[in-house]
Amino acid sequence: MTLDLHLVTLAPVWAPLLAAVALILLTAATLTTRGARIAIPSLLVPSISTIGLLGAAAAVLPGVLTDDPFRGALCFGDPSEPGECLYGTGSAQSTLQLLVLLVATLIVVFSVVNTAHRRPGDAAEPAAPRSLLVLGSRSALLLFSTAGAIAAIGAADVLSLVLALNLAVIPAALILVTDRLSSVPPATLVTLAIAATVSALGAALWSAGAGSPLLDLSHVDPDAGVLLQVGTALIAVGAAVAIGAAPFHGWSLRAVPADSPSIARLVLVISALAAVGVLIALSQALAEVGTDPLLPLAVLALVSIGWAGFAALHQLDLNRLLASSAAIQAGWIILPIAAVATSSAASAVGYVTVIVTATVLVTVVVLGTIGSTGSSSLFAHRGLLQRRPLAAVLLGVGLLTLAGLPPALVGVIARVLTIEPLMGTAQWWLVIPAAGAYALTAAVYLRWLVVLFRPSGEDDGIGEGPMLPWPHRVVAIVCVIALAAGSVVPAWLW
Amino acid sequence: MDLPEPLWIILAVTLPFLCGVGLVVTDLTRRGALRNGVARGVACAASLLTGGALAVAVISDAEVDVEWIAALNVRFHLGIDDVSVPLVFTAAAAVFVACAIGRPVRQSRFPAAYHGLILIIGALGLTALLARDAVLLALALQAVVVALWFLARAASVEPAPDSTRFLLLAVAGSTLVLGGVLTLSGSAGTGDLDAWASPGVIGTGNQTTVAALILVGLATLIPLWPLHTWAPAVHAHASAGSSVLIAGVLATAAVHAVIRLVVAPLPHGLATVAPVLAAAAAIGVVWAGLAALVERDLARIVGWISIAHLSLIMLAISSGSATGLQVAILGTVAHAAVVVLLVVLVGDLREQWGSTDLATARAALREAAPRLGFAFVAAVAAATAVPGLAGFWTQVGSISAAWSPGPDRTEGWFRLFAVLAVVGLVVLGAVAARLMRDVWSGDRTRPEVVDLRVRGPHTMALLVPTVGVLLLVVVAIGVYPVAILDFTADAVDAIVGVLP
Repeated sequence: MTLDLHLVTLAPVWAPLLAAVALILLTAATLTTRGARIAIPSLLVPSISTIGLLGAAAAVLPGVLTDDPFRGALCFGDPSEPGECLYGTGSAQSTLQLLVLLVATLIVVFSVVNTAHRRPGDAAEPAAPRSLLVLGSRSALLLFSTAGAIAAIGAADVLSLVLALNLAVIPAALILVTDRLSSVPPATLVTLAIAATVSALGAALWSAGAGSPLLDLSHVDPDAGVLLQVGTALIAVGAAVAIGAAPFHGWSLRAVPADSPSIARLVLVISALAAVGVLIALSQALAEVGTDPLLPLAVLALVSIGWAGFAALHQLDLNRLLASSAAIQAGWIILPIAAVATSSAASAVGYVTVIVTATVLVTVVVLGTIGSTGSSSLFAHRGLLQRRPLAAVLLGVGLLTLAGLPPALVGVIARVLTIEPLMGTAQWWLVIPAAGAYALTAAVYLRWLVVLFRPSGEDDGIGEGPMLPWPHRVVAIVCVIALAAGSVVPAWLW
Repeated sequence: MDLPEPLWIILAVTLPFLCGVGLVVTDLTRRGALRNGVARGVACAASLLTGGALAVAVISDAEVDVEWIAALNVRFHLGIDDVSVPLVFTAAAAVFVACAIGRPVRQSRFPAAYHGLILIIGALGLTALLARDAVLLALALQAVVVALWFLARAASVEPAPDSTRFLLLAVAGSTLVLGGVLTLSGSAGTGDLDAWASPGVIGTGNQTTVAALILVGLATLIPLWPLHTWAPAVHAHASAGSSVLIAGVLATAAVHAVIRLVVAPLPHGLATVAPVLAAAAAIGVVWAGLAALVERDLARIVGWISIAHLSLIMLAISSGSATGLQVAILGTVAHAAVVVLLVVLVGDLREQWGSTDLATARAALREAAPRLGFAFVAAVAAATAVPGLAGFWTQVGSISAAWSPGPDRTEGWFRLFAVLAVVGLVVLGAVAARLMRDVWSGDRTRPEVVDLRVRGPHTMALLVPTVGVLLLVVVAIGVYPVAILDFTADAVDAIVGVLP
């Protein structure tokens, strides 16, 4: 038996990996005495990162733009047959991978722009060895996380799936905690370690139950269902931790520095997208053996929305609001995945695209305002509509999309698509909580939106400069345009 | 050059929307670039052009039907029939009035954005009224609610804590409507309202549950007792333009949705829940009258009068007869005309008085501002069952429809509800008398009140022609309701023909 690599198809995985290795070598070189005497441009690190990401994007784009059902790599036979390969992508998976790459590129670009913004006259000055160590290692971690997410999305066997998922999550968490090495929250790392162990155990049980680690279950004996189901549940728990669904979201709450408006928190989106890919793959695989994952995943989703939603209703810190928002949206993302057995993965991916865009929009606006005001309190947004109307409108569009309310029609459509499969089952004990979850979600974001209209205090600490730095403004406007386009022509997404 | 017919109906919804977005973006990005007068002129022109496009669309029987959200089987399907024509023009007229009366004087910021929001709400309301796809109708209705909240919140003349209650109630209600619509769409295999109205397309199994779901949702938007609590407060705190849109666009679209989503496609379901609906409506008339009788705030009284009128409309719909349906359509137009007139006048009084508290001694309009007083008296009379004015046919017609309900209704109960509604009308008469005493009659001439003359620098310079036209409409409907009744007769018969 031979294994055909199909390196071009695998390019989205090895391109960022190669870039990460290059960065590690570069960083290591600067630690030597000889390396410390070499003048290394500060833009070299982000340039290497960008080359890796662009290379991966170039390899992913054909899968997004065409309707190829399956393109495989690491294949034992025909690369167009899912059961013959250890890695493969269709248009849905390629779209998810492109989202991962876009978010990673955004983080890299912001790291460059923010550096230039802090020292406008010194952009070309060689970086000091210690700062290069930090920048290089963080960039390498970002690239590892990106590669892991891409691999997890395209994995066609559970062992690769779980390994890649952990490769996506752990570096992401390390990026967030490296800002404050003196106070690394141990619970974060312990949680992730446990999740990795649990998901690995799940993969083992899956392999035992299916007789093979491949996700293709068309030849599986139905009598081996118990091991398969337990294994699936354990892998799903690992994915739930990665996506930040409540009650497994505590690690992401603790990992993000409370007082640091760093765009690096978007790395959590990368790990969440990896988890989305894992859940989609599991749902599609289970559908082949007639197992409907709708109910357990729906229950998990509603618990996440309810738990995080009620917590968010009392939250006054913007960073924690963002984290709670992520947990709420994680629940809404899991719902359409639960229906993948009965509908297409494209529907779930369309929804994920909308939520990721809106989350990026809200995150950049919030981080921009925190950076400008120095306050992460929700009350810093009080009266924002009167003081900084553009920032308020941009934030409002994002909040309405996440709430699933008009005029952000794309958010409404996306939310309706998550509920529609439940309406079709006529299981009212699920439908009614789902309607309640819709109202709770709307209440969380509307509470935030109402603050924008309230009159601000006399001494609100707002300077005369723009509320949003220009990089945040550009990204936010691009996101709004994308959401508006999705509202007018939803066929682009679904 | 002849333009394609669908273009006119597309123009009717996109023109106000794009103009509105343009005004909002202009104000947000270049603050102060457009003065209030220019913004108001642009908005009025856009609303007039919209009315023109609608007229051509009606004459040419324009329709547009394209696929929109394939994943939900939703089509962007707009069209007009005889039921929606009077309601569509009512909404369009309300938008023009909201633009013409301008923003509150104390609202000095973002004048263009204010008028832009009005146009956007108008566009969304027209979309809801023209929609021939149920999901499109429900989405447009929800969009109207959220946009109205923005306007009411951002342009409130006083701190408005109750606007959040309005938003939550209305969003919850519109979500229920959306849920019911999706359920029906799934079972029927289509969201086309014309198909839904055909007998046999929607089975009888789920009709009662879905009808109840949709009616509860729409009851928050109309509003109907006991889900009415947001209305008086919002009317009190919001600007006059916001109140005009609530009465002329939101209420009109909600009543229209009842006809399209419940009356036509769910006859069995409506027959089952009709007694409950009628009871809520009858109680609503009495409740609103009693609340208005003891209310201190004139703007809140207008809100209660609106609730009473809308309750009568719902009583007429619940009767299940052709008369009831025709009265409901006529009553919706009359309600918009009467309440909008009241809102315009009370809004002007608020600008001059500084508040609408009736406990404060004011100049009697009869002495200080006789023309304004005359308009006020006519508006209050129209709000009660005075023959020859618009409100008469709503009130008498609703009671008549309830007294002689359709064949599938329990006559005894409906006659009881009719009696209850009469009690409510008597209370409304007492409210009218109270308003005449507190606002119009008396000898006080201080503090000074500016009468209905052409006003130079006053922001409501278009007040006189606006009030004049509204008075004419109120009288015209009161004197010649046959124009609307005959126009809608065939379409109503077609709907009622499938009722059990």
